[in-house]
Amino acid sequence: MRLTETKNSCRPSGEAVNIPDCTEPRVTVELFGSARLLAGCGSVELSLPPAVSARDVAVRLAAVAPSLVGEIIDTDNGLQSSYVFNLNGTLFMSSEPQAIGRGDRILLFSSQAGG
Amino acid sequence: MPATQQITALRPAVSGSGRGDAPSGYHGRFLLVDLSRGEARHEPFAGSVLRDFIGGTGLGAWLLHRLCPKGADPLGPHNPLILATSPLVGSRLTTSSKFAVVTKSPLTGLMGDSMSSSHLAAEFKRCGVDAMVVVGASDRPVILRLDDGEVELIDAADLAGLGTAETERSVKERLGKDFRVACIGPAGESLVRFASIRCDGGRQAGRTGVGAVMGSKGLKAIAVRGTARLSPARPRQLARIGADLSRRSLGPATEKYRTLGTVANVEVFSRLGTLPTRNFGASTFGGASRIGGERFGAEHRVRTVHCANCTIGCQHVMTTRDGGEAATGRIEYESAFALGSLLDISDPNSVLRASVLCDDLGMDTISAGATVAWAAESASRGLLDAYAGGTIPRFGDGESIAAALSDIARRRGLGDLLAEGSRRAAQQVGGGSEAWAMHVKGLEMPGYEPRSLKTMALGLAVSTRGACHNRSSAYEADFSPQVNRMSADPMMGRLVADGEDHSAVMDSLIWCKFLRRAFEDFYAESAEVLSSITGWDVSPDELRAAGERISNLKKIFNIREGWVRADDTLPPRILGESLADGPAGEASLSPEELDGLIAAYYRARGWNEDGTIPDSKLAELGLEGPAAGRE
Repeated sequence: MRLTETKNSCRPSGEAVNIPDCTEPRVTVELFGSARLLAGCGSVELSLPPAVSARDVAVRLAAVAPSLVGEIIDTDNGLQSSYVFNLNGTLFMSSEPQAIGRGDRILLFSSQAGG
Repeated sequence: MPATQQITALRPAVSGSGRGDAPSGYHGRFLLVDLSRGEARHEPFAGSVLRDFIGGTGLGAWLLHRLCPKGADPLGPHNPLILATSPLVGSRLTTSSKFAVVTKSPLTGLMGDSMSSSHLAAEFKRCGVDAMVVVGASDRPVILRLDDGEVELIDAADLAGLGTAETERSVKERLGKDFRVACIGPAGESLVRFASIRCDGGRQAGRTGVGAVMGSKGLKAIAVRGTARLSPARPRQLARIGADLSRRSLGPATEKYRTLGTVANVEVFSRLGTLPTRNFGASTFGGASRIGGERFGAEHRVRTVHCANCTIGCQHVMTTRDGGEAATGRIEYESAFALGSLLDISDPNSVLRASVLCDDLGMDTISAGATVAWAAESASRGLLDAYAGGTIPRFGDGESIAAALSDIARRRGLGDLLAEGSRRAAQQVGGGSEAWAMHVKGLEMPGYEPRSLKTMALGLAVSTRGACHNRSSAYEADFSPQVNRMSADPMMGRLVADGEDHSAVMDSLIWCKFLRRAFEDFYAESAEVLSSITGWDVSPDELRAAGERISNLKKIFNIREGWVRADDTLPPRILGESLADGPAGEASLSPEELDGLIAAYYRARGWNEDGTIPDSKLAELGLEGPAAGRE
């Protein structure tokens, strides 16, 4: 995975790499399913503004993990409708801005929960 | 064919007009086979039945209500075993080669239905009927052979005790490889109340014990072959819609199923605190990553398989990699949960081996896993000491669990008790074990933790099928920003009712549930499809009303068979114990919260406070008297 201007990256081993130099809250995005396979890692660290919508997270994530663009992230509209972000395993993120704190964890997974 | 083979030809007497005045896409009749009398005859679908109930589970519900005597023993000769196709079967639309098996469930005593994808669906419809109803019972194991209009019973004593894969192979070898086969394994023959039916190459009609009903009739297998093809009323319109739908079926809406399959649910469900673990004692599982789709697929996948006439290809065939006895087969989320986290098994080889074993014995993996989990917990509390013989299953011990599954299928030792399902087993053992018998109305719980999925909790409590996730798909709301899944909200009543009606239409047309997000406007597009096949002018509102009608008919049948308000509930463990291991902290569901949700659901349905259906609603849906199949 190549480094980007936001200086975030991840390793194929699944461990996140953190390059802290940012004043914005830093969060970990945990990747599940195809997102993990495409990115080649289990999580990514991001710097985000204190309040973000799902689309905001998608845009930042696309810059760090460009392999997610297409299948998972639509650069015009944010996440593909078949994917969702969940904040700390509790709240599903939407178009409404959501307060983000340092150390928060955002889960990215398929919205198709059928089994 | 063995020289001693007995063949009984049943000559169908045609009492209906068959294709004559049937709408396009239908034959307009069903085949009624009476195994006790050795008779078969065709019966027409009269009036507006086909348009009102469509096919699949809807048509099956109508036939069940009409032909199952009130109070019939589910394992007795009077309980009909119904196979119902749909107008979409044979159309070549993606995912449409499916059929429904409908009967009175030996687990719940209420309406039971189970869907299966299979080439058998299209072959069966080419036999010139839309459905088949089997009543009575044979006094010896038989194969029911349906070859176009010919019906025969063929002695199958030599197949007794065979696993499902070997049974299918033997039947095809005997009758011809162009026959499509549905069959049962040892579990169905032993009347295990959660026995399944294997359909043509390994798909299972899994839930509600349809295989036990087939076994009670002495039917080891059904083999079909036919040539009667139907043409749609508007072929060009249908071809256009079909091509567009196939294209969308390969887009983001089905990406998860194509890439990893449903087993991808395991790890994320655990992370969200919604993965039932150790008999619903926890909602997160330390071994989730080992049996989750990401790793399972990478380390065990052999190939991906498509169902009949399907573009998606969701079946991921896995194989064991531990050097032990090899097992290769499909693995789905529900099997990974029921034979994995629910039993504290984190070894993917053990999970796969147990799943393949269940398929070959012919048992529903969900009910099998949940019943074994009940036994493991009961044994750990010393409640099964009196049950000598057979293997006592233990949490985390794959070998004891596999042995227990084999015992169940053959009713050996403790397996004889467990073959009755968790509800009956707990009632017999007592000692408070009813509290951790994880079922609703007798059907064991699927892999969705109700305390942290409140819409799903309601869906499980009120489902006419028992603890079923699939007849409401209520989890969809919980896994979205639409609701706060941790908090009971009256709006969930409407969500569940709408979800049930939507599922009723999907299961009647019949579409695969995995296609549902490929639709931009489900009712409008489905109405256009149905119109192009039948030549009817079906509106989206008409289809929506059909869904509500079918949902209500299921409830009518259940009320007739003894359903009472108290049956709409969840296990005591769910309502009396909280969970603390999930990411949201304590997760609980009080009886008062559930009652509030159920009341909201009844209101959304337009039902009475006690869950019965007012006459005005019956009239609105055209479900009075004969229209509901009552004569």
